[in-house]
Amino acid sequence: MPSPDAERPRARFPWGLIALAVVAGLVVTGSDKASGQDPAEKYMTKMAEASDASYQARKLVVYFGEPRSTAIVEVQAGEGGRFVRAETGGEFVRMWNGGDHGLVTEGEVRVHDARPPSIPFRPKRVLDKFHVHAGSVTPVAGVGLVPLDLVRKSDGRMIERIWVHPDNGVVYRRELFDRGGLLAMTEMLDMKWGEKAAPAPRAVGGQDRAWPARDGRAPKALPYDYGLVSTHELDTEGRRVNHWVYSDGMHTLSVFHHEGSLNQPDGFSPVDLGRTAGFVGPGPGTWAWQGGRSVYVVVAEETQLDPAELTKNLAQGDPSRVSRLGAWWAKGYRWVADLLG
Amino acid sequence: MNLDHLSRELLSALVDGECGPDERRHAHEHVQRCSECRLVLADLTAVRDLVERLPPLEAPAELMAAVLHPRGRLRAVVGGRRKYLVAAAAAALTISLAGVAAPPVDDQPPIDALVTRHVSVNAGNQTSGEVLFAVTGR
Repeated sequence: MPSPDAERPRARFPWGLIALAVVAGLVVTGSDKASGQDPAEKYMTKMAEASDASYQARKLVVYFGEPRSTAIVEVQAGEGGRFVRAETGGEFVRMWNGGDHGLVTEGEVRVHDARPPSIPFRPKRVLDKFHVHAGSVTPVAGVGLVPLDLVRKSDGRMIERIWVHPDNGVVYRRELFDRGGLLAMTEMLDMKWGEKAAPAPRAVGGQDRAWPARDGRAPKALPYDYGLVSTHELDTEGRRVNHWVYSDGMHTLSVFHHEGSLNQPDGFSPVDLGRTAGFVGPGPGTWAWQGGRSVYVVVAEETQLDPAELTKNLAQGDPSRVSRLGAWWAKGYRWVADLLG
Repeated sequence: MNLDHLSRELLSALVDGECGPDERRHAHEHVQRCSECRLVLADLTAVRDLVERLPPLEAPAELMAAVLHPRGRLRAVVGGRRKYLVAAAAAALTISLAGVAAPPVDDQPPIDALVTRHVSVNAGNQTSGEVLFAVTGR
């Protein structure tokens, strides 16, 4: 009679598997060293290549600041263009870029922009601005992802962590930090590869229009390594607004500029901008201030930006005495013009 | 115009002796028969006689000089009011420039539209814009 020990499978220590993993790790590390490519740079390059990928996805977006809020957005990306759609509170917003570009709200085109700015992802510039540390592959919601920690070189602050798929470069999760910790997060809820993006709605005859326009007043660069991408003009709500688009290779920053006088906008709080007082709005970075005869509004996505530093190259301060006198005359001029019909 | 009567132009020409032989014969034949046109002709003749009796007027030497020498005429018209005209023109120009150059008062930025614009230009980029969907309540 065979002994029970003979039938029981022997519990072997998996020396073979460990040896295989070590060898594989050495090979991978060796190949990275041989190619001279930093792992962070490799994943960043994959992220840039993923901009051509075709997929459909739903993402959860959570903002932990005030007011705390969430949204679910649908992303469609493909050769025909991209758009992001969010359904919240009955409002339907759709945006896309590609050949045509614009915004549809409740079935009506609101903005028509035939030539939107092109803002590609630039790994080199990101690596110039941030220390990017690539962690090891970690399972997140059943998918193996690599965390990339972005620490800003200029002040050593942890700005965000990007969870990227090591093979296809798609970002599955982003965590944005402020000084107090997690400020916002986006996470892929589900995803389908190779889905052709639905044809983007054509923006025909929108009330608001935007178009490229040269503007020598826009600084070529702003602090935090933001470079000017393009300048536009925008007709919105009866106003002519200049739109200067900046990028640091990954984050986009908008400077809007129009003539006028600023009072505190709804939902904004007073803030010190260094040379003048301004207002800060909700979100990672939205500021408004008076700069001479103009009103400036900056919308940024990068966290932990010092507004005084960021805006130092832009005009600040109340209108000069001459401008005030001009405004006084303008009032009189309009009064007389109204009187004369 | 009443087609049965002579026109005032023809009657006036008749008084001034500017009609041709045929027109003059036709007008005289009509006036013989038409009392209304006869009265109009009489009025026109009386006016002409009054004008002819007015004494001749001498044109002022200043006006004659202005007509004969246009540059002198301009100076004569502007005369002592020149300073006031220049001042008024300067004031109008200043007000006009101020009206064009000065900012509109209390013109608030369309913040929502601007944030929307910012998000829309980044639509679909992997690392841009989506957080603002939650922040702006969209």
